[in-house]
Amino acid sequence: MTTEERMPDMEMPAASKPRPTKFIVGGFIIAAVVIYLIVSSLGGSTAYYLTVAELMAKGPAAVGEKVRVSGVVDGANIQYDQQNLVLRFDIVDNSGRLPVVYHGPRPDMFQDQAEAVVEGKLNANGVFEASNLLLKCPSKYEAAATATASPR
Amino acid sequence: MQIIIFLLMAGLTIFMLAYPLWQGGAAARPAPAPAATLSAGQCATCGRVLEPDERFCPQCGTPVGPRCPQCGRALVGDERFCPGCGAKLEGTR
Amino acid sequence: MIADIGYGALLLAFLSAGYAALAFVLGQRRRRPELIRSGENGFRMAVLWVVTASLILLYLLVSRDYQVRYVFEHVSNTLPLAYVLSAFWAGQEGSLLFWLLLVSLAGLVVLYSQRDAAAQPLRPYLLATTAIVQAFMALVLVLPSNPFALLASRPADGFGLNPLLENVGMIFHPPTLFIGYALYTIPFAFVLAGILSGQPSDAWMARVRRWSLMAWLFLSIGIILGAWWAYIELGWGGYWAWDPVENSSLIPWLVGTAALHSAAVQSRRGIFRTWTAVLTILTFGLCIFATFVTRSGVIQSVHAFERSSLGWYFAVFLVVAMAGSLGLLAARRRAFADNYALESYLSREAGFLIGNLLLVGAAAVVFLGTIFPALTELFRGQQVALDAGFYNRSFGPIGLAIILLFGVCPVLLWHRTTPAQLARRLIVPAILTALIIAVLLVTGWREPIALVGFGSTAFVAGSILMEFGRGARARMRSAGENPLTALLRVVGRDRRRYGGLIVHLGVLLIVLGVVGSGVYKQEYQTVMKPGETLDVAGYTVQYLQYVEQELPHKQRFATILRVSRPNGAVRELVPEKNFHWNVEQWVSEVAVWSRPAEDFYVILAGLSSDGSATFQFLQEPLMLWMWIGGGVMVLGTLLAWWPAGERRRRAPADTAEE
Repeated sequence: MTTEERMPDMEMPAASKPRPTKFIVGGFIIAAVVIYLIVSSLGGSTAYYLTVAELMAKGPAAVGEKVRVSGVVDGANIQYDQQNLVLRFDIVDNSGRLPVVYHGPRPDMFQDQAEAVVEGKLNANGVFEASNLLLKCPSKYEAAATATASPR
Repeated sequence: MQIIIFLLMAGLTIFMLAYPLWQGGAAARPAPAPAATLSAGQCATCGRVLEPDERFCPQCGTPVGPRCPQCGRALVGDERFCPGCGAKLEGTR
Repeated sequence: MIADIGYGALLLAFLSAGYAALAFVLGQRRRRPELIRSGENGFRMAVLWVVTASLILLYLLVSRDYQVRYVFEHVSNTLPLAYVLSAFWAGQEGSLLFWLLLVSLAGLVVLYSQRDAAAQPLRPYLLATTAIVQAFMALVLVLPSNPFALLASRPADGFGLNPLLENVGMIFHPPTLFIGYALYTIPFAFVLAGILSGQPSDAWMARVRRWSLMAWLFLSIGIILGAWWAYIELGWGGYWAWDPVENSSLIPWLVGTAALHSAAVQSRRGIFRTWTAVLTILTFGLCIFATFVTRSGVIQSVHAFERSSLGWYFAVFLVVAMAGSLGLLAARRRAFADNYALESYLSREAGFLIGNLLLVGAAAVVFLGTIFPALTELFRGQQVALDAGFYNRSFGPIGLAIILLFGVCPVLLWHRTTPAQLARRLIVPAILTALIIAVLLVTGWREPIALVGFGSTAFVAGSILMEFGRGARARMRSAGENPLTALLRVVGRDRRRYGGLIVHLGVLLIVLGVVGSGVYKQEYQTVMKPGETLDVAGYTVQYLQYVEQELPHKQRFATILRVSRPNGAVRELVPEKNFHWNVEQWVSEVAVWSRPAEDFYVILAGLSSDGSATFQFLQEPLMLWMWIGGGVMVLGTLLAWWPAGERRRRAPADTAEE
């Protein structure tokens, strides 16, 4: 389209005026502060995502290191102390088993075969002390519906 | 049954798409006529009364201000050449 | 079968929208008006078929036609009608159809509203962009995510809705978010149309404003409702967990906020044109990214929906849309050149710019945090997750800086402000802040974060309220009006500005809730038997009785508590723990006593057959202000959005007299 062709240097002469460097410096300072905040905040907040088998493979080296472990809740080994709100259970995957202790009310989604992600540290006795217990909800829910529905 | 309904739906769609092409360029879209008496402080498009410092109509967004005499393109005001058609503007301002 | 017709309608919607996009572009390029008219008809047909498909899906849901897989998975015989209707957007396929419906309806509004002379060059490209988005969504619905897929036989009962989603917040939270995402298509379409048609950006940016504002409003409501749903329904006493799904709605909100502010400066001063265009494009892209995150399963999340190939459709669309539009913008960047450069750091323009950079920085923090596990998997072969501490340490300071700017920016003048002017206007808020901090110290609120949070809230509130006062006083002097009339008139005359300031006040109230509940949250837990009484955190809790009921879709276990305050106020709280048959799962219902000073939040954590129950009590100061602040934000946005009706209605009469 010819109407959109522009002749260089003929429009808005003021536009070619360069921006004062002090504002570019200001922009860079803000960008630098944001990057600094991101990098400095990473420390202490990172946790490796591992499967039960991967954690087991690390052996004693894993003790005390903050990690997230995902696995499936084994219904046979759930103990819930209602008085003190202590939840003990095992999560398993196809090649490993990890005993977990969690302090807090038993989450609603928590049941046999639920897919769980625990965040915390392995203690010297080989028990995983979870500070956070996440259970995947709607996915399991939709998948369950799908499983019921798919045979036909 | 559903095949027939689907074919009817598809037929309607094709008819709607083809109708303007079949009519050709004859039925030109009527351009909205600007109101007969517009004062300088009014928007040329919708007639809204404008504040003096409004460069664009806050209702319909029509630019208020100089336009290129050749192509009618809205101008910021300080161009020497029309950015649309390249016409020289110096004398017109 | 009627579902087949729904599928046919989707197929036709895809074809019509695709054709419309082609016809618009070709018609405009080759100057063939009849082709453009044909494109408009194609657009209308696409909308018609999308509406038809949506109505068919609704009909199938309401008639509980379980042979349709989507109906089977989301509806059951015992589900109340309101939730049957909300099942339309509860699942993946339905929510995508809902999104397509919203984009189509918004496009229809554009088709019938942008018809004035100045809009003519934009119109074909505007509708073409919308049609491309429609065609993409329709393609997704036709191929990987068909809502009309059938089961081989017809089950007698459906699976039903996830009980966690049976909550008023959940009826409204997803659709409001989707409305926000869908409406952001229109500002994006305007930017593309502006670039392609070569119109000066100031002209069409004025048209975009109200679309952006509406989209932003719905996104805000969606986020707040989501927080409220998490607080009420998830039963851990929190409202925001920095979960990838939550984050993905916050990122476009932050960038969209920056875009609104940049556009405000552009319309008043004619600068930041490129910025506004880039931010508008990015906001749309981030809305698509949000869907990609929720639907692809690339990033681990508590919400994690089914992992599906769908995500890759969105990824490809996202890359193409962003690369294409940003590339076009770069090629045509001269049309977006600014008239002049900034003059001084002490100017309102500079204040807006800094605020914008901070908002984008905050969005970058959340974005990086969200994709961090995927990034580390890509580069180190091992997923590394980030916890909430990361966001608190990085997002917190940026948020604080943004909040402080709320207070400084409105008192800055355009072009430049002298330090003396600034000091004169900020001295009162500063004194107020010192007073508030002194009061807090004396009354025992001594946590540093609380002092910083409440102190800056006081500073900003003081500065904003004085801004209202200054405007009203000027009017009282010049027009001799009484204070209330003057205040209303001043707000009514410049709704954009004062609406914006009211939104800022709403954000301050939310900050009160965040700081109060974040710093001073207390937790208690105890075991009680029916009939027992206990004093906890200034409340007297009496466990009256234990109720067990069998309802059609659940077994209800409720504990009735009588909670009283020393001043005599009494409230009955009923925390429950229910077993839902359809999912064979427990669902807790918390009970909350909300007062302006604090929320008293009760969770039934455990229950024995003799009725002895383990309760968890949470004390969350100032929580109520978070929801009030959300309401204030909505009102402020509506005020800024509302068309200037009074003047418009008077205008024709005035002309006639002249």
